[in-house]
This record gives sequence, structure tokens and C-alpha cells, in this order.
Amino acid sequence: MRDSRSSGTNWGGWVSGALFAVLLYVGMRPVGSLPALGNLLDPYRGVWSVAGSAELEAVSSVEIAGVRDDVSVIYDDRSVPHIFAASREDAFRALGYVVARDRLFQMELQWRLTAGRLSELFGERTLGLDKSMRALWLAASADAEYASLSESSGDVKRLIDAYAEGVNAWIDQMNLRQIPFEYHFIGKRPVAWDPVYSLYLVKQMGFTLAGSSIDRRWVRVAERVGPEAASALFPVHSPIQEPIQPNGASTRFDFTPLPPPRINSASAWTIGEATELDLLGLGAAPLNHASNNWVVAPQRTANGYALLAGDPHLDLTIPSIWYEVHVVVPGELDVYGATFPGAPFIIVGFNRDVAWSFTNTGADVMDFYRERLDDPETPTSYRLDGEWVSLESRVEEYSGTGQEVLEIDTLYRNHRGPIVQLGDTVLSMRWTVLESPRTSSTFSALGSSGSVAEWIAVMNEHDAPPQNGAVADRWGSIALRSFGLYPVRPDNGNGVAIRDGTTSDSDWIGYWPVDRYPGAVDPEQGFLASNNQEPVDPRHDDAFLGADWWVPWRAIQINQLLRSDSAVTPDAMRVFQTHPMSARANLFVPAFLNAGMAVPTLGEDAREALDLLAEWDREYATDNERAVLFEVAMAELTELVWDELADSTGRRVGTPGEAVLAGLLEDPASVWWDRLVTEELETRDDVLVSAIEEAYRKVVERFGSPGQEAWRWGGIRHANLMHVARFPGLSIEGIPVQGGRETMSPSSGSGTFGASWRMVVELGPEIRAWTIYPGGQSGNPVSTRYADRVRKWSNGELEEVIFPRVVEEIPNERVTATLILRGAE
Amino acid sequence: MNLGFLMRVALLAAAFALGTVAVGWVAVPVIAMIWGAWGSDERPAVTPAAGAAIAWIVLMLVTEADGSVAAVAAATGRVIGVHGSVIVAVTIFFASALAGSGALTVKVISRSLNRKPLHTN
Repeated sequence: MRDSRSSGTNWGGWVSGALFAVLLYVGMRPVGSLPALGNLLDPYRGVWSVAGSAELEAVSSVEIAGVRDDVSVIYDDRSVPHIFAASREDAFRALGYVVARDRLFQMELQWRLTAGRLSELFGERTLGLDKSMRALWLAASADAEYASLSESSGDVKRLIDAYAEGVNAWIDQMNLRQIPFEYHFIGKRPVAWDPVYSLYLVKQMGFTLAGSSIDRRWVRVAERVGPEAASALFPVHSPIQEPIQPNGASTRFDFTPLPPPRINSASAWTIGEATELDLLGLGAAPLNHASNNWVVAPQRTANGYALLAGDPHLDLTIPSIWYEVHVVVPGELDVYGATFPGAPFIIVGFNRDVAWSFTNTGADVMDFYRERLDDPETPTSYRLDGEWVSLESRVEEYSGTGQEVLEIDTLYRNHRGPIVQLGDTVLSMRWTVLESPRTSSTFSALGSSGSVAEWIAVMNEHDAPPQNGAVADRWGSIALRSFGLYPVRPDNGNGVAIRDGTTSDSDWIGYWPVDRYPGAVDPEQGFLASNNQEPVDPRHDDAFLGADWWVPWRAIQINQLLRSDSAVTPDAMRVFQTHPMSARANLFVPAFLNAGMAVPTLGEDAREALDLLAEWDREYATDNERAVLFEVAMAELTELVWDELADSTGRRVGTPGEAVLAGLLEDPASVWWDRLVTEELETRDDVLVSAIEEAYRKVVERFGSPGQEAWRWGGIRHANLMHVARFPGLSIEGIPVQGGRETMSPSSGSGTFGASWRMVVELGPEIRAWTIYPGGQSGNPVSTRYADRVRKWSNGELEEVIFPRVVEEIPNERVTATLILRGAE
Repeated sequence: MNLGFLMRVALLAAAFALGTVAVGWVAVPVIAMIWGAWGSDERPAVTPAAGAAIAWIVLMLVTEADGSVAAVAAATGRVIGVHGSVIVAVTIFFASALAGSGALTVKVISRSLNRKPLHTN
């Protein structure tokens, strides 16, 4: 480089100075979506250091304050930690430690989501989400619940505290290389774990599984087509009955003609209410969350032992929402299964005597009330029974990434629950999830059950979210029951619609007694299954539990499979979990084909489409080339039939379940078949043919002529495992899956929900079990354990688990790492 | 390239590596500026640039002994939207350019202040 001073200007100095300034700036400050490069690229403590913690150390030991006796943690070749401890406290301390070691970022993300404190990590872009979550008062409810836990609450508080000690021991001892990958990109470090965060996760589970209410859709639809039609479109009892409590029949159809729509332009307040409910953040309520579980009695199994299968259909994330673990405390506890990272319970699993799994009941445990406040701007009280009653208020401060205050607002609550107001509309919400102090104690106690009867006794105390629990034991007993608090409403007991909040006569008057919980123990048929359908046939008990139930397509399918197999094997249970047959297609395909025969003149496209549909085996295997046509036809049919429910913008204000659509097939001249946009009067067959014809055109347009590989289902519908913080590139997308909408392993829409965990357990003298979940045990995207289970999961395979009583029972060749936790001096 | 230059690069590489381990990436510009201010290097940019690059490469190789640097590069690249090799290159370039520009900038400033002729490389 020449000396430029001789010409009067030192260009080299200017250039190097500018470069230096730029590099310092991008080293210290984030630019756009890029984090500060200095800390990120630092080869010792930046993202590179993550490589050093991607895999487990073969042998390690650690001293943790509070540990009384040494705890051995043996990782098997599936990366499942088997924890052997002398006391429950030590065991759960170790559990907190090992889960944090693998999933710390996910744990922090989850509690922050519930607490409405994501903006402290991600800034203003998550402020709206934080406000929605805080408006639900979930964290406030968990705080109160934790404060009420005492030493007399069994050992729940001790276990939650011990778990937190384990998490914090990991955080405190973590070296620079063990900071999880994602923190390097957001420029943060893990914060300490408060024991109450475990309860936040329990509340989050309640939100996920019971954060949905029919009220909102009912109001919108009633406004559009009248309350009578709305009630028929979203019926309290399912028109197709395949309940979890056997009703002595196979599928029972209970179709009644739909009353005609009374199309109406809306009154202002109902629109306001519908908008209000959306603002609660419940518009995106997880309606897609479903699950399967079933149990088979010994008399119907090949080996003569009870069998249980369970596959909760929840968010497909990476890392998974589950973490697989085995906890042994000799003489007290020997439980294996899936835990939520952050929650010190085995939610789904088995011990030496009992196995269990859950499906969501889908009961209506959330109601809304129209309230009157003294001052809409700064309310202090609400009207109740002619008096003004004080509101509870809470000032919420939202902080950003630098702890700067982004916003402050005030939340209100009355005796029912959170208040939401916008304009003139004020609603309160009552929700059992906010009144569920026993959830943690029931889940904590499940693992110690010694029989089906004991397990049911524990679950009878469960409050929220309502769940269908399938259970089987080593002595051949099986059972399936709906558990949780089911509110009893006044008047007609119906929880649909919004009630008057100015009178206490609108309030819940109690909960259904346990002996009215739907279910069965050791039924004559020798099997029981639940798939989120209405749990009891209203001919047996017409108590209001909910409305607009899931159509029991999966229930029909699994019950047919179980009825037709009197010697069920564990492998058959596995095959059933991903069975590609569609009960839904079995009902609708004949309707399309019959319509084709009934309509006198068919266009060429319609004829071709119907021929293709007739060839279909009604299965959603990955190589199937007909399922796509049926799926598009069903979407078209829905669009054409429910045109009365479209608002002025063309958007449907609600979509009735397919059981209602199936019932409409029985009424070919119903006015609902007629399309508003045409002058002719259409009937059922006209609409069915139009739907399949239009579907054919769309499929050909998008995927080419029939016979093209592009028609294969595996190339069309995928599972997508989305990274928990949606970091680009860390998700695993486009996984071909065997299953379609409402098959046993359902896949629909975005592909971001599905079988989050699959388990089969055989309850013989020695328990045998097989499990899988999409993802891997490690949350470190650099680890070989990040996604090592995905391929087998997508293929519908399971892996046999190791279930040792003592350390020595684990074969040496299957041990991959050993960790010893010792008490600190 | 003479032995003296190689010795200076080695010395600086050791300093950059130790500094990075001790206090983090900020050690790189700080050491480079010190070198620029007090060193009598005829190549005030090249020597620290080479030293910093070598230091960070060595630290990454040390990390490689514990786990896969390539896997980190790939994952980081996926997040940022570039190939993993770009992340490796940017890391080395970042350290190298930071050290070189830092040393040269300080050298230029100090020479200006001392009103001595500048011999840059």
C-alpha cells in the first residue's frame, strides 16, 4: 500500500477506518434480522461453541445442592434418560436437570408464551401475542395456584420445587459451550427457572386443549341465518354417534332436516361481540388438536394381555412438545413415558402395572357473559343483581429486549373471569382452566397407580383440561372415561350463546358429579376407543357437555378395525395408528357416485372425475393418486353448500361439521343445497356433481392430467415440524405422511399438527412398550439427536423401549451416556 | 515473507486466541489497535489480519475436536439463509478484517498525530 499522504489524502487510512467502524458496529449491534456478529461468530463462546455440546458426554458427574443421595442417569441408545434415585425429590431434581440440558430454550419459550413475556426476547413483534396471552390471565391463575400449594398438597410442591432446582442447577453450571443454539441469535442468555413456570405450562396445556368455545361461531352464524338454523348447524349432539361409552350399536346416524336459513344482515352488537371474541386471541383456538387412544382386553389379543395405544395429535414442533424419560425410585415409582419439557410429570406413559393415554374431550368449559361497567374508560365496578360490584384490576407492563417499557395496560376481572372490552361491548369469560388447582396433583399421582381402579380414582380429581383417559392394567382390566370439570349451566343447561352478565342467575350452578362422567370399565365388547367424539350417546345421558363435536370418522374407523380383529397384536395396534382408510370417504364417495348416476347429462370432466373417484380404494397412502381429487371435491362441496354463511366479503362466518353435511345428504331437496348466486333451484345431486367437476378441473390445472406422479398423495400433503421459535431453516418440512383429513393419523391444512407421540403398550407379566415421536430428544439443531426419529415416525414405525428396574438391567451395548448427580457440600 | 513476519503473525495469533478465550471477540479489535499503536510493523494490516484469521481457525479446529463445526455452519447457514461454507468464510473474514482494519486505522491515526511519514503495506 503506497503512502497516500504524499498526494495530500490518506485514502488507505480512511478506507480502513470506515471498514473498522462498520465491522465494530455489526459486531456489537444487530442489523436487520441479523444478530450482532461479534458474539454470534466468536469461535469460543459464540454459535460455534454449540458443536461442543451437541452430543452427550459418555461419562460425567455433577454436584447439585439439595441432592441427598447419588442419582444415576443412564442414557440408552435412543437418548432416553433412565433416572434412578433414592427419593422422588432427587428423581425430579434430576429430571429437571436432564430436560433442561436438552431443551432449555424450548422451556423458556414456553413459559414466556404463557406469561406474555416473549417481547423481552423478540421485541415488539411479539407484543400483540403477549397482550393476548396476558388477557387470558393464565399466568396470574398459575401464580395464585402455586401460592396456594403447601406442604399439605401431597408432595406436589416439593416435586415442582425440586424440578426447578434441577433446571437451575443446569443453568448455573452451564458453561459457555452449553448455551443453546437459539440464544446466540437473539443475543440473550437463559434466565433462572421459577418453580411456578411448571404451572404455566400446565395452564398452557389447558389453553391448547380447552381454549376453544362454540359461542363465537354460534353468534356469528345465528346473526347470519337465524338462531334456529345456527343451532341445527352446530348441534349440541353429534348427528353421527360413535361414542366412547359403548351404546350397544355400531355407528348410529341421527339426522334431522335442517331448518331453512333466515338470512339476515347483522345487528351491530353481535358483530361487535364476535370481533371481541376474536380479540381474545381465541379465534386461532386450536381446533385441529385431536388424538386417538384405545384399549383392548386380553380376550381379544393374540398374547392374552391387555393392550393400549395412544397418539395425541398436537402441534408438530421441532424440538417436539414431548420428551421421553424413565424415572425409578425403588419401592415408590417406576414410570416411563412422555413429559412436557418444563412440567415435572409423565403425562402419557406406563408403569409396571398400568398404562394410560389421553385424548381431548372437546367439552365446552368456557362461557362468555355480556357485562355492564360503571365507566367504560376506567372501570372500577360491574353491574350484578342490581348492585355495583368491584372489579379486580391488574396493571401489566410489557418490556422489550432491553428491558425498556413497550406498553402498559390494565386488565380487569370479575367473579367470572377476565374482562375484555372494545367500544361498547364488554364480555367476561369463565373458564375451568383458570379454576383448576388440581391438575398438577393428578398428573403427579398418575405414575404411582397400581391398577385401573386406582388410576381412575386419581383421575376423578382432575379438573382441566377435560380429557378422555384410556387405561389398561396388568391384570387385564381396561377402561376409558372422560375426566375434568364439566360445568352445569342454569336454564336449559346449554353452554352455547352468550349470557346476560348482569344477573347471577346466568352463572354456573356447579359441576357434573363424577358418576355421570361418560365412560366404561371392562365392557363386554372387549375394547374401548376415543377419538375426540361426543363421549356419550345422548340417548343414555343428554347432559350438555359441549357442541359441534368432532365427527367420529376416526372412531368409526378404529372401532371397525377392532371389531374385525379378535386376536390383536402389538404390531396390529401400530398399524392401526396410521391406517390410511377413510370412514369419511366411505360415506361421501358413494354420494358423489350416486349423484353422477342421477344427473341426466354429465359433462366430460364430471364423467372423468367420477370414473377416477370410483377407482379409489378410499385410502390415503403416500402413493395414492385419487385422494387429492376427493379432498378438493370436499372443499368445493363445502364452499357450494354453505354459501348462505358467507358474509358480504365472501368469507364464511362459520363452517358446520361434516356430520351436518352428511345429514344433509339425506335431504336431497333441502333449500340449503340451492346456491344463492344462481337463479335455478339446485338439488343435492346438482351440487355434488358441480363439486366433483370443479374439483377435477382444479386438480388437473394444478397437478396435470390423471396418472401423473404429481397426483400422488405423498407429494401433496406433508407433515411440517416447525421450529418452536420459527427460526428459518431449523424446521423440518415436507415430510410425506400416510393419512388425510380425519384418517387415523390425520394430516390436513398446514401439516403442523398430527401424531405428536405414538405409543403401544402390552401389559403382560413383563411390560413391553413401543414409542416414537417426530423429532429427537435434543433441542440442539446441531446434534445427531435433533431429528433422529423423524424417518421412523413418518413411516409409521415404533421403537421398542428399554424398561429396566435397576441400572444393571440395561444392556451395556445400549448405554450411550452416564451422568451421576451428587449432593454438593 | 520472512521469518520475522511469520514470528509476528504467530505471536499475534496466540494473543488473539488467548484474548478471544479470555474476554471474547472484542479482544480482536483491542489487540489489533494496540498492535497498530505500538508495533513497528511494516505491514500493520496484513500481520494482524493473518494472525486473527489463524487464531479463529485454530479455535474452530479446537471446537471440531468436541463436535462438528460443519454441522454448526450448516445450521447457522440455514437460519441466515446462506450455505454453511459462507458462515465459515464470514467468520474468518470478520476476525481478519477487524484486526487488519483496526491496526491500520490506529497506525494511521498515530502516524498522523506524530506527523511521521506512513509506510503502509
